[in-house]
Amino acid sequence: MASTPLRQQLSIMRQSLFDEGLLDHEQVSYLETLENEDDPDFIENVFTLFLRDSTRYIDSIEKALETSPVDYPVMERMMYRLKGSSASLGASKINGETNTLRKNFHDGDMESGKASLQKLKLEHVNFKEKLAVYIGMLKQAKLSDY
Amino acid sequence: MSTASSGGVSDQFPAGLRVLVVDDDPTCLVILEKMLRICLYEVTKCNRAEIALSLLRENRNGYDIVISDVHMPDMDGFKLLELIGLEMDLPVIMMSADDGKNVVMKGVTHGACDYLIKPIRIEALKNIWQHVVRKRKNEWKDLEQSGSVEEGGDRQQKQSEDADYSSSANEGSWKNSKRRKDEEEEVDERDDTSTLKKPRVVWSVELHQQFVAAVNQLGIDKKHAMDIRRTILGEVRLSGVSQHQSGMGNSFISTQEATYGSLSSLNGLDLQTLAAASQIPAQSLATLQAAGLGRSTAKPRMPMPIVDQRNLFSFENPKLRFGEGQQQHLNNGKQINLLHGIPTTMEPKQLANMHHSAQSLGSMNMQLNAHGDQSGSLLMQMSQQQSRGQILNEATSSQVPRLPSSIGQPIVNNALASGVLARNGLAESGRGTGFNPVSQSSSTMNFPLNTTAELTATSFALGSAPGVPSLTSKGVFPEEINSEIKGPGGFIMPSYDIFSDLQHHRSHDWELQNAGMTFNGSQQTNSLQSNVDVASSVLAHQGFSSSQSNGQGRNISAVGKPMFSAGDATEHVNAQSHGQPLNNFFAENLVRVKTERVPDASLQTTLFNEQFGQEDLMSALLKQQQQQQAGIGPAENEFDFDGYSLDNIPV
Repeated sequence: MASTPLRQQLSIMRQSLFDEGLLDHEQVSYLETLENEDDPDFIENVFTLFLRDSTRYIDSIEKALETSPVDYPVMERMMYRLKGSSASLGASKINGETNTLRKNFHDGDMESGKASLQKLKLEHVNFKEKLAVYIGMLKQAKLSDY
Repeated sequence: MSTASSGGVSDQFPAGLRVLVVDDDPTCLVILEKMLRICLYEVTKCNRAEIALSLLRENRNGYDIVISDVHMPDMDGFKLLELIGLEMDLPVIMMSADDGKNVVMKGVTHGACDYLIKPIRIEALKNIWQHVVRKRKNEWKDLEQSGSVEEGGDRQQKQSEDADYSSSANEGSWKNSKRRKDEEEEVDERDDTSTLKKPRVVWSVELHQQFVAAVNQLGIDKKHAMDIRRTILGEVRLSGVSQHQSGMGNSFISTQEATYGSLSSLNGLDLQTLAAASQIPAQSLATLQAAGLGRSTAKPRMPMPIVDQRNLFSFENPKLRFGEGQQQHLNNGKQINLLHGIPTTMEPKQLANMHHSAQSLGSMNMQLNAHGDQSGSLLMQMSQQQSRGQILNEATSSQVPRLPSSIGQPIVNNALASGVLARNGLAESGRGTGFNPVSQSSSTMNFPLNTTAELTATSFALGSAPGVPSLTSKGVFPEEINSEIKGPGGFIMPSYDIFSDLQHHRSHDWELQNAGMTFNGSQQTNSLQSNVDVASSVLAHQGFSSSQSNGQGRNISAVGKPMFSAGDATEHVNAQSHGQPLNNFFAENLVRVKTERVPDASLQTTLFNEQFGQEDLMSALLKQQQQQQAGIGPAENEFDFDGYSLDNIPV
């Protein structure tokens, strides 16, 4: 694709996402290679899906934690889902926070667990914002290519 | 065989491979689908296990392989694994972001062909077709095997299966590499997975002789050593030696190590026991063990085995050692559990003797199994089993302070496997990997509980069957089961099949159902047959076969289905076939047996039936083997229990 200003912007943003550690360069590059003409919106779709689902998962984790007694099975499942999808996507910070969360709960450390959940939420909000912008730019860039 | 179709491989293979992906996370599902399409596979995705199951059921031959996530809301991934293995006998690959050893091990023991850790790369997916090929190949082999009565064939097959298994295990990232049969549960899809489909071979006298001869050689060739090791692996696994969870490959390694370690302890005991039990010259046994140990471990510890043996002999409590190993193993594998179950019934003094014997037997079994799984002298097996059970129990007990509970638990699992235990010990022989299903039990608590309870329930129904009785009479709990198991003669041995099946499928129930169904109605293998197809679990066959067989107590048939020994089970089975719940229970256990082997009721039951003399058992076993080989094709002997392979259920 021609290196239009839009594309350039996109590329800059992409790089900044990597630099901030929000996205894993290797994994994202890998995903990008999977995209082809038949499915040009692949990456966007994946990102969008992730944003939507990760929000759901985090909410579920929070709810599960608030019930009494704590709904561990649901929490476990949600954490694994989040871990898996963030890993598959290359959302490094989210993935890292999820791992910390898991570890805390596995260790039985509720306090730390709750604290890391809050941190995860913050990271997630931040990630969502930036990624939403990136997705928007991606869409625009594609359109401008047509 | 589920997909035995002709090679079914088109020129473009693996392109066009029909993959069913099950994952409740949309992001992963989309990415996976993408990657699979790039591999030129035909992808169907679904986000619910139940949907996946119904898709598979509607179109049995519509898919070649299934990839499923472990953590799913509506159904546990392992359960799905088992069900698929039982019903459709397709290779199943598990995946998850969870890379904990236990979980992966669980996958292996449940028969997953492989276990992928997320994030998944396309490279990992590019090779999944080999699981399909391997499975088919094994299935064919099984078919061929069934045709040939010889045990050796089975054994070879088993070995090859094991080899396949192990190789697959080594593949890929942490893949369990195939379901090693997997235990048993279907999910394993048997071939690759742990459940090697080999028809179970009865440990016949011939086999035993072979074994002895080998032992005498001492110079035991690598193969034997490997076999021995395998057998021992079965046992060793119990001891938790198989710490290496990485698929089969590791198992071997670990087994070796474990074997080595455990062997030493076992050796001492085993030799004694073996000698006693099998009347094999202690020396031979020692040699064998040493050889086995030395060889299998291939570690510099060679000299150890011998030394250990000596020590062992004098070791008063060899079982402790064994137990220790087992303990560890407990967590890892059900095997240990199985044993526990068995010994319960043994009387204290018997136990004492048994301990030693059990250990040795256990190892012997293993070794024997290694050799020929197939026909070992029933006696040996039986004794082994018993001793195994005992030893395990004892060992476990000593090891684990809470043994009773732990044993109970395993027993629960075992309950199902009671036969299986026997089997496991025996089946270990090669199946080690596959076997582990039993060992899986450690974590299987969950599993066994359900199963066992069911088993027990079933057992009860079966109650009549001598083989089964042990389980049934007791009550649903493992503790009881253990004792029960002993009841019939203390052999639970044949359980291997069951066990292998068990491990294969967690869903014993599933198997049982099949088994149960078969039992009842059909008494015919017909029913079983259908089940068999479905459940490769050997166990199922075995169990069922027994029932059919002679009314004798239907011991779950030597195959290890002692539990099912369907003889009695038949009664229940009938009820079961009608009554779903019963079937489930029964089916689980039986099915296992059945699936693998054509439930040759006659054969199987004979094994356990106490009524039968050992000779009868042996002949029964042999018969079964023959039968199995002849017809059982589908039996996927998940475990190579061979010794008990009742698989030859006359179809």
